[in-house]
Amino acid sequence: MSYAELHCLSHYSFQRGASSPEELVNTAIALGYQGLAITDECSVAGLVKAWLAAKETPLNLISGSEFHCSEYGLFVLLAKNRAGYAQLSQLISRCRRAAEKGSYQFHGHWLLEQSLSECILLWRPEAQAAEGVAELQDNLKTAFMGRHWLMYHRYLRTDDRAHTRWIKACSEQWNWPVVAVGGALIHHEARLPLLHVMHAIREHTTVAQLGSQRLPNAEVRLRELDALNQVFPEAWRQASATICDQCRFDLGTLRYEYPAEVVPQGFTANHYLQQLSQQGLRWRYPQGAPEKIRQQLEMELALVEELDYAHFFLTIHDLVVFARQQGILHQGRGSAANSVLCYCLGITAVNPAQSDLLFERFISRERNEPPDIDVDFEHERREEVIQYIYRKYGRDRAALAATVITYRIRSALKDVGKALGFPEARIQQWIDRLDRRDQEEGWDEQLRCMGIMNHPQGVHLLRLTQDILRFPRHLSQHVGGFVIAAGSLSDLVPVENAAMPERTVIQWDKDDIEALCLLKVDVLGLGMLTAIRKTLALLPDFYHMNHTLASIPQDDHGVYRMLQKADSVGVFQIESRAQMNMLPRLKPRCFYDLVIQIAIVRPGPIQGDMVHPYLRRREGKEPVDYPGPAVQQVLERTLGVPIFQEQVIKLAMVAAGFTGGEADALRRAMASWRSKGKVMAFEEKLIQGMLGRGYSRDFAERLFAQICGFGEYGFPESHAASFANLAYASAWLKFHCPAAFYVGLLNSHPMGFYSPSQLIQDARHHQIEVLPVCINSSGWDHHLVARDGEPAIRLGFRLVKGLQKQEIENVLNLRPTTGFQNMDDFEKRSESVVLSVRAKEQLASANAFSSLAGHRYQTRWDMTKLDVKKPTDQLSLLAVTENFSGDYTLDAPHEIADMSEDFASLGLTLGRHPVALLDEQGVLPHHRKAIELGQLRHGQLVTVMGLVTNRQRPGTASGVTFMTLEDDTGTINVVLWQDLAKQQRREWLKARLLRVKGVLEMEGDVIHVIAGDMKDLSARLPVAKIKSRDFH
Amino acid sequence: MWMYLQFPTLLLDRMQVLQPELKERPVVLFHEQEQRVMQTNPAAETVGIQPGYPLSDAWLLADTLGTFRWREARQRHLLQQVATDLYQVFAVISLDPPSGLWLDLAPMQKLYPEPQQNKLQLQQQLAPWELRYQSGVGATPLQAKMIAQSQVSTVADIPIGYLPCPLPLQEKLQRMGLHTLGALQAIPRALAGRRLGKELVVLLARIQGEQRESLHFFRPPVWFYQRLELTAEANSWQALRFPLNRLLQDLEHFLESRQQETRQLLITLYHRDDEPTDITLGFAHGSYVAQELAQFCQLKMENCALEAPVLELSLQARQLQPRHGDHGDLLQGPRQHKKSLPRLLNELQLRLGQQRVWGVQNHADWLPEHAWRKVLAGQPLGQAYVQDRPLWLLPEPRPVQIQHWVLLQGPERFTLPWWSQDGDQICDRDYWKARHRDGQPGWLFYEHQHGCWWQHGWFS
Repeated sequence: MSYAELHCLSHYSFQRGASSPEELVNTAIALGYQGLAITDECSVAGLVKAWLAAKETPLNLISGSEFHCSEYGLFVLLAKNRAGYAQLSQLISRCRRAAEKGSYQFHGHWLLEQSLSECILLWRPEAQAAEGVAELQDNLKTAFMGRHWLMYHRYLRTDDRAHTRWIKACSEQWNWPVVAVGGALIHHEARLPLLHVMHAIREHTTVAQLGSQRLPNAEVRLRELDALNQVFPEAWRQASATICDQCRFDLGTLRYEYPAEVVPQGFTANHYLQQLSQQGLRWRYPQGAPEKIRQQLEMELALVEELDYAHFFLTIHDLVVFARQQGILHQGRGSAANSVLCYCLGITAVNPAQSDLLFERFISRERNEPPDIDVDFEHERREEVIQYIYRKYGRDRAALAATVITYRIRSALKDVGKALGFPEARIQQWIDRLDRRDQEEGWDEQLRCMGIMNHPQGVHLLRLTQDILRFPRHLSQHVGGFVIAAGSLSDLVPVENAAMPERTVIQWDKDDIEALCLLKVDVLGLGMLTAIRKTLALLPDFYHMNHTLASIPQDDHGVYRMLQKADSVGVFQIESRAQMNMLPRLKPRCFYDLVIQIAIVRPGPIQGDMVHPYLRRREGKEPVDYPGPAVQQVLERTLGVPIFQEQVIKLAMVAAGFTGGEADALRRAMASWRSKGKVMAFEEKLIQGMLGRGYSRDFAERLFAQICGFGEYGFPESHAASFANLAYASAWLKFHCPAAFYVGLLNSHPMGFYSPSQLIQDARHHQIEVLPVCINSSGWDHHLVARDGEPAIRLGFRLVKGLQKQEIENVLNLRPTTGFQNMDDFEKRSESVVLSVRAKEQLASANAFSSLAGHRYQTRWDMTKLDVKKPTDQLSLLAVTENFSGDYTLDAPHEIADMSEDFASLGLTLGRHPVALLDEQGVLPHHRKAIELGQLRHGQLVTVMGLVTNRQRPGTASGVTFMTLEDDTGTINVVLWQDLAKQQRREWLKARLLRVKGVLEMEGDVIHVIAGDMKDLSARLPVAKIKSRDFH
Repeated sequence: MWMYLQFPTLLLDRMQVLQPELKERPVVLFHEQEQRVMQTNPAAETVGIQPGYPLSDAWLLADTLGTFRWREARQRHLLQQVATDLYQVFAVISLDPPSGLWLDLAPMQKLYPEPQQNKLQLQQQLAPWELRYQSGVGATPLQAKMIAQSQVSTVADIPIGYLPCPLPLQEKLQRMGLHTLGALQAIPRALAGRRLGKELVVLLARIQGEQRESLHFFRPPVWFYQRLELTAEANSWQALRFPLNRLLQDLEHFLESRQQETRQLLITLYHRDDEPTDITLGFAHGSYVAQELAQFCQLKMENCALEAPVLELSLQARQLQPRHGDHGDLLQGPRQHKKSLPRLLNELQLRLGQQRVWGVQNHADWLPEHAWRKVLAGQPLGQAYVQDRPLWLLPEPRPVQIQHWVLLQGPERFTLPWWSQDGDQICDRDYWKARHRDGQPGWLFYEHQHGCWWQHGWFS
């Protein structure tokens, strides 16, 4: 008997289906179905996953979708061919675009308005169909001409008989043929509980209270052929096979066509790209490009032509030209970005000549994967680029890729728990008690320890939570991945509304796009680019030099010496505590060292135990050896230790004999979330492959362990290289133009790792003068002023909390060039603009009026007025006739109160450091200052103290916590081992001012205090608003 | 003169008295919506937990943390009980729920001319409660309250943060350097009004007593109610004895101080999922002695089994009457008046056990056994929602010989509720309309798991 399932929903019909497309496809194959249609509700979001699973199997995978119409019942459309698929995709787009994100609108009549000439229609008319149903069926029959069928479902429910009678009657009366369909929501009956849970989640109730809404049985599974034989008449079953034969569309035949407008008339794309790259070569190498570079470019162009990617490079070139014209700083990254071609096209500023082209991949011929280029733009101006894309290509041709939001442990526990009837507070407590770091793993054991199994539903909660993990919940928009089509995008994939107004997303995520070889252009935002652009803009006036990102001098030894001392606050990517810790050990001396530095301080290399071997080999303490020349070629530049994702892939090919396709599958497995399971599938093949090529078992197993450790955390060299370029650029600016650098950073906030307070502390430690916010001297942004020939930083109003930019700018427009004379002058001139009392009070508290008036308390008092328009503020209780002779004089704040006010209104103080003030008052026990630590000896017992500015727990196995303390002379790095951290939690977890007794550990320039005993002294701190950056 | 009493951990202190084992480990009460710590016991404070902490932080600080919901209504009720007790000594009391109350010391002046005497009286009266409290004395209610909360010695030293005014106003004052009430009071009132508004002027007037506080004076309640959360689920009557006796002792204390007695007790047991169980005990004659009442409860309890584990317990005594000299025999008193239906039901439940007196209600569910629910007796019947079901359902399905039947129509397949079983096996039943060889139409099902046939009902 032949049967094809023509009506089946995957879990991409959110909260309706409970099996993945892969599970459905694999089950359909196992059951011997001829075909399977994935017909998610107004969606094709699960189709690509199903297609991947069905590839190279005999199963005919049919593309389809179902639509509900409250008046006329349920419709399913199946694509017969490519044209039918485009028609289906357009209908879905129409339905989705007509409704808010996540929902759709559909009406039976739309099937007549839309061209669906290459689709097959299945219909289950509503038993209480609205008037006009007879007319509708007549019109549908005419429109679909023999491609129309009535669907017959049989679920062994109470209403089976009535339904059968109804479908038969319709068929006879209207003369429509009938086809049997399963209407499957799960692949196996064991999924029924999860399906019940999902329906309860959808209905916001519990499984027990679903009542008659609960599916009575598991007949919504993909049923065995025997079971289908028993419930469907043979002719109707047979019809499914007939329809299946008519549907011959393979998703793999979707061909992406590039937008044509990036090529001017009279050119071919390749020709034009050639011309642009030659122009670029002259621009980048005014003195003539080295021969090696020319050859490389020729090679790259030939490859681009061969693989037909010219349009892709031209599309990105078009974006960066726009950005350049607008003065928006940008930087490309990804394997293809680090090429001579991209350098010449201005996509990247990484000069391939100076990095000696260390990069493995440009575009891989053998792997047939699309070129990978992400372009980062200044975060404050990325929207301009996005709007340009929409303007240039139109909304029907460009849309963002989707991101599938999936269940994680917290959301899973919460939703499943609620569906099983656990009180929300109880679930929340369990979630709160899950260890923050380990919550994705071993969570079930932790829950067991909390006694979850004592609850009668505990066993179900654990099992169903496990089942639902990684199930999709809804589609969201990708951060910046655009798909741009030559024609209407909805011919290719349905487009729906995003949560943001005026944004549209397609129904596929980046994996789907990659699987189908569609091209995606990643337009991302990066704060550091904003900061660098703002810094560069200050150089001509204050440092008498002119630089672009690409012209910053390379290989500056001073810059590297600075980094070797871990003086990297504010420097892109290498400013975190963990990175700072590594800098003096790795001692970067050249650009490529920075590439390694960026990639090595990641959970992947750390968990794969690659850090220490690499450092030992670098210091010459361990011999560098390779098990063979092929491996040597791959690992030579990282001294025999695999550090980058590319190396792992390459090793699989050269050492284990993986084909391009297999290596690509391994890369996907590594990239997918929590992928250990998927990677394990390669174990046998990798190890056997290496043994077969004469490598030792020891080497093979070690390499495999490293791959597992890498997992999702492996960092690609191609991205690290682009990041290293920005890291170097920002380090160069910090070293040569520090004042401008801090201003650039501060004016791009919020971004990066450090608060303005910490950046300014760092600036002052670098002997840069910082001037306070002043009504006569400050602007909205921070700026540089010349003081004794040196640039100093004048703080801007953007620091003042609660102040609106527009409000203060109105006032600044009225400020005379000589400044306001006094408070009266200020009041008089600013009378014409709206400056709220609140804004004035904020300015007063920020001490912005100190050049005009007395201390800030008094200014604030003087400025505080009642809003006379508010009747509640008017005084009726006291006679206003009372004589206000003279006003009131308030005491000036003392130094600690000043500091407290600074923190409250600006988040930082330019006065003395709180620790210095408290020291002077003698309220702190004796302690060593940060600056003294370098003079002490290794192993010495010390007591240190400071404000806690950072708590960080890197994903290492040892469970160490890093803390940074700040005193008036600098910062102190504290290392907290797990046991102590646990014992003394009450002291450090919430402390703002902390005393640490411990052992000093010095290794070269690296100084740590290994904490032994801690005491929370926050109570002695008069300032409430000091923030620490914790556990990001 | 006014005295203010602030009970920062009122509810938790009380729980510790009733369940002393709570003192052994860190325990907090938390706000359910905000998931924040509201009250802490000394053990919790020792490990560093403070009110206001997120509950998740509290868990980090103490692995063995005991957590209970903070219930405002219960704390308010408790505050009333404390006030009721203090009412025996202090004539004018005003509640400031949920955690404080005022005592007017002026009427006490004659009785206790020395201020120390008031304190002593207070200590004595509160001693059995084992509550932590802070007290403050002031010329006006507000002064007393702020002194109690801030624990400063003079009115002028009261920090601005204790002023009963909105936070933005407090912040405004502090940011002018006005950190204490004294600094604020030093400003001429009119000036302060002009700059800072009427609201503040009114507040200052209240603090000074220039404007009277409108306090509601406390009247003791006329009936008794107490509710108690158990430390561990109780599975037997035996486990309920100790907490119930505590409640009965409180009741005795309550009745004793009023010279009253009761003729009815309502004990309510709260379970996790099921409806609470009410147990009403009526007596022909009044009583107030805890021991006597406990004996009577024990008598009733011994014969009953707990339907579900008990999480909480409450005791109510409403029908109070002046104490009678002659108690008579509690168990033999004649009942004279006719009973109403609800009363009859209640008494039936008391005598027969709750599981033997109930009403039924339709319930939307596929499985016949789940298509109705036990409900409190006496409610009207709703609409049936599934057609085509037999009117006569057998109390239990019974096995049948399928040879005696002809299957007519079916199957309807129903999966048994997996969530009320331990395993994850899917068990199906196929229901059929069938005719018995005697001609009667019946409702059969085939059970897949065991491969056998059962009859579940008769049609007409």
